Amino acid sequence: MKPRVAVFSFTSCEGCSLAILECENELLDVINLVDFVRWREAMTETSDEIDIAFVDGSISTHEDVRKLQEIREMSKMLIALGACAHTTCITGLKNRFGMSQVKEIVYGPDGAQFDTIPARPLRAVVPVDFELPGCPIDRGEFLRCVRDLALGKKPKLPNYPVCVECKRKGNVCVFFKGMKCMGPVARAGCGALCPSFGDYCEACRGFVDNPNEESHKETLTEHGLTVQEVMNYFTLFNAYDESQI
Amino acid sequence: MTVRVIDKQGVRRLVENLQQEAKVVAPHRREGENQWAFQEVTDPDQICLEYVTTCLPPKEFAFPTRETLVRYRLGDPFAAEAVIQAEPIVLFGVHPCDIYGLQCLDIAYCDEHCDPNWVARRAQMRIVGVDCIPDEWCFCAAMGTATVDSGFDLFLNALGDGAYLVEVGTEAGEKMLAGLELREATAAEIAAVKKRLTQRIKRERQIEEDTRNLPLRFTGKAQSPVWEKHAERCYSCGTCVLVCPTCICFDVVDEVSLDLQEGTRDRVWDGCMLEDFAVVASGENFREERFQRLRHRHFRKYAYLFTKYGRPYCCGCGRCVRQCLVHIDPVAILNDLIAESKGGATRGA
Amino acid sequence: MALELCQCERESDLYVPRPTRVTRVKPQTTLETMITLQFLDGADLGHRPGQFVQVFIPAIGEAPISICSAPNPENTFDLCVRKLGDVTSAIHRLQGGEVIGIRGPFGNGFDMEALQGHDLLIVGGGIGLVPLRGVIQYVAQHREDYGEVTILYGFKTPAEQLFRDELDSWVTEGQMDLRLTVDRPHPDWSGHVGVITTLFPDLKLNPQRTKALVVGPPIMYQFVITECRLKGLADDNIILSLERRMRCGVGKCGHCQINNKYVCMDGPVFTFSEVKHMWEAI
Ligand SMILES: Cc1cc2nc3c(=O)[nH]c(=O)nc-3n(C[C@H](O)[C@H](O)[C@H](O)COP(=O)(O)OP(=O)(O)OC[C@H]3O[C@@H](n4cnc5c(N)ncnc54)[C@H](O)[C@@H]3O)c2cc1C
Ligand code: SF4
Ligand code: SF4
Ligand code: SF4
Ligand code: SF4
Ligand code: SF4
Ligand code: FES
Repeated sequence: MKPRVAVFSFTSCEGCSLAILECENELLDVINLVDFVRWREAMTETSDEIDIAFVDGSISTHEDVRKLQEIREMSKMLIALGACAHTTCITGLKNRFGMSQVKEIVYGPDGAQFDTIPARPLRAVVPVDFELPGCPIDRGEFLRCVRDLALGKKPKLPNYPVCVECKRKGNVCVFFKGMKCMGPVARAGCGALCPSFGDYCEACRGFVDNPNEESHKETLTEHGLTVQEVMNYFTLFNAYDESQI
Repeated sequence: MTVRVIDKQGVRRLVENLQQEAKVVAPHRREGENQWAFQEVTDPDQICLEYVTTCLPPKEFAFPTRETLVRYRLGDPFAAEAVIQAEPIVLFGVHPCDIYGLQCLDIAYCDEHCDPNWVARRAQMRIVGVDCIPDEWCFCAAMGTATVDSGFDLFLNALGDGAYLVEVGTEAGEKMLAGLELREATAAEIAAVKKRLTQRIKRERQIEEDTRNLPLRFTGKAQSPVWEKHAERCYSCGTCVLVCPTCICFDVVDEVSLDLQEGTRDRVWDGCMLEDFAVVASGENFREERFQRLRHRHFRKYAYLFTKYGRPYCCGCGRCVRQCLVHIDPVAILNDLIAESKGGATRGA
Repeated sequence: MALELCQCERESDLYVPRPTRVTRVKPQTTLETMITLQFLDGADLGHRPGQFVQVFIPAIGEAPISICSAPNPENTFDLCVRKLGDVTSAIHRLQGGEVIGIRGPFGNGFDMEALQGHDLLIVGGGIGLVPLRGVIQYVAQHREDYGEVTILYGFKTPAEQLFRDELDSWVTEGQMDLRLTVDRPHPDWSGHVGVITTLFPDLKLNPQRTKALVVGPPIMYQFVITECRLKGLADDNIILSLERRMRCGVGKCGHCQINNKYVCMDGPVFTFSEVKHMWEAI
């Protein structure tokens, strides 16, 4: 029997779940591998028996927490889809401020009545079986993930840094072009997308298992960044910090 | 064989002649400070023969960064076949260190089992060497690879103004020169090139030991503090081994089409500096610490393979330290080890 | 051609798996299953005990697995596999009749000729018994060539015991001394309790005639080797089989290296004297 798949969205731009719909050429093959039983963007039919739930967005209200717990209950496997669900991405930047301040900035003087809590990744609320990182997700990686699950394989992420993919592509390292890059500590899997297009890596996919953060902070400083700038490089996509919750 | 001279026009014609029969790749400038890469030649005027070194070594033309080894159709039974794609190719403008690197892979890939993909590509590969312009990271002179006497069909030594002394390495090389009407080199030209090579060798970075003794200098060095000292800032990013012309390691990954009709087994460049290189299915990592990986890499290059194949598996090209963001340097490591063991010997005496 | 390449025979199929039929599936425990294989063309694998093959499950991948049987006239061979990841789980899903792929045999295996005339002490910890089963079968087939054979087999709980229905025949037909132990007391177990080294004090062996063959999890080696040495065995006579990550199986990919050795080519079988100076080995 084909696995029953559902897609849910929390606080995010929903770009990651839309990225799935953009797999136009492959969508027919995907539908041969799995049954989509619930998907707000694409269909109205709903179902409560789910084999694999793909969930995008970070969790930033009490209501979100409750809904995510419900999804976890009815799903055999829960997969975080994209940086918001994985690291909170940009939505985590608000955690640096007090929540009352956030409410005021976002919703104006009447903001206090809104239900907002510090943004957190899915795994901070419920057990997560797999995380598909990236802002947005890499479509190829999503397709491989679906294929692997249909074949009974465990989806895996590379545990090496973006530099590896940069080298396999023969890119000139952007440090030689005067830029600074998070590649040496960032988790690969995107095919070194940004350096391949002349940009630098911002670690939108999070870090490798054991990043040498101290070393990289020193490297960035040696290349002329201030302490604050180094902080910004490290937190743009990876601001989530349990201790701020 | 007489030594001849090829001028700028001659080089251009040579390239054009070679392009008639083969794909020609040569160093080209890339964006960034002192960056070059081997690329297929479309316009011979874009070739840059005066260069320090390329980002990736030329081994990528016989051992691509990713290549399919096996293709299969699913079904009962499945049907698998080897995928071996080779075409005539000329590497134009290869430095001596990189020629040495290709020979290292010839030896390792043909030891006991012969890697069919490497051999097929190498069999159709011809090499035109060129002498080099060392920078502050090169140490080919110390490794004995500043010049090579085999592994090329032609070798070019710069005379200035785009002219080169041509050394012929093989019959195929002699044939490449057919119809080019080259003049003989003068004694003064030959002397000038010799002088430049000797001076160059003196200018480069040195290892404080006869390279032939390097494996000896590794004896008893497993517990040396050198490894932890140099590994402290290492990212385990693998750059040093991926850009190395003498590294041979790869991973094999499975790809299956989304319609589950066919699949491939592909090899991709891999290296022992990466954290998971020696992880087994039980989860155990046989080289868990950064220093253990750095140690293995150096033992492998200067001791294990040196002893096994009679030559260091490092050509001194300096790519590893040049591209390492924290400049972890085999020369510094070797000299630390040598100092340590010489110091030890004095104390013991 | 410009380059001095080797003159050896072209192995264009070096990386291509050979189609092989699963002729039998025999589950062992909740974690281990045994499959019997035969090449579609009926050819002989031509292996020695202790060698391994690369098992390819189409669409899934490849994994190195020890051959756990001795050569036989039917040209079949057995693999006993613990479920750990993608390939091994896919092997556990086999029902029999499927066609999977095999490359090999690879590695050196046990030198059964060199063991002739010796007493054998066979020590298997957990799944380590798997490659040793090939040795045991081989010795049973050529029983007169070998001296006394003692098998020590330890496992964590009685439920993890492998090859249950064969163990008796090793004793009766194979005339071997088989001693079992489980790590900790268990309601279903009335035999010896304790880690495998606790079987050593009762052993009587002639250190001059004995060769020990030891296979088990990494942690087991140092303890068992110490016991063997205490019994007077020379390091040359302690023989091990080691496991590392493998990709190619043919000495190219670099993954299986232990110091200067390739486990896939120089091993997986090593004498203790070969590896005792290698800090990455044990
Ligand atoms: C010579 C030899 C003989 C062997 N004989 C046997 C035998 O007889 N029976 C037997 O059962 N086993 C044997 N093994 C072990 C067997 O090869 C492994 O269990 C098998 O390779 C696992 O493959 P898999 O695809 O099932 O697991 P994988 O899916 O490859 O991996 C399983 C686990 O390994 C880890 N892992 C894998 N790849 C990575 C990675 N890239 N990064 C990080 N972690 C990773 C993960 O934790 C994963 O959950 C032998 C091994 C060797 C070397
Ligand atoms: S550009 Fe970035 S990712 Fe690429 S090699 Fe340089 S540091 Fe690494
Ligand atoms: S290069 Fe870095 S920032 Fe760009 S997609 Fe990859 S991980 Fe994200
Ligand atoms: S390139 Fe430098 S930082 Fe990266 S793995 Fe090599 S030594 Fe370590
Ligand atoms: S140094 Fe490391 S990556 Fe390079 S060939 Fe040796 S083992 Fe492989
Ligand atoms: S180890 Fe460094 S210097 Fe030596 S061959 Fe490799 S990249 Fe070049
Ligand atoms: S498994 Fe590839 S070298 Fe041993």
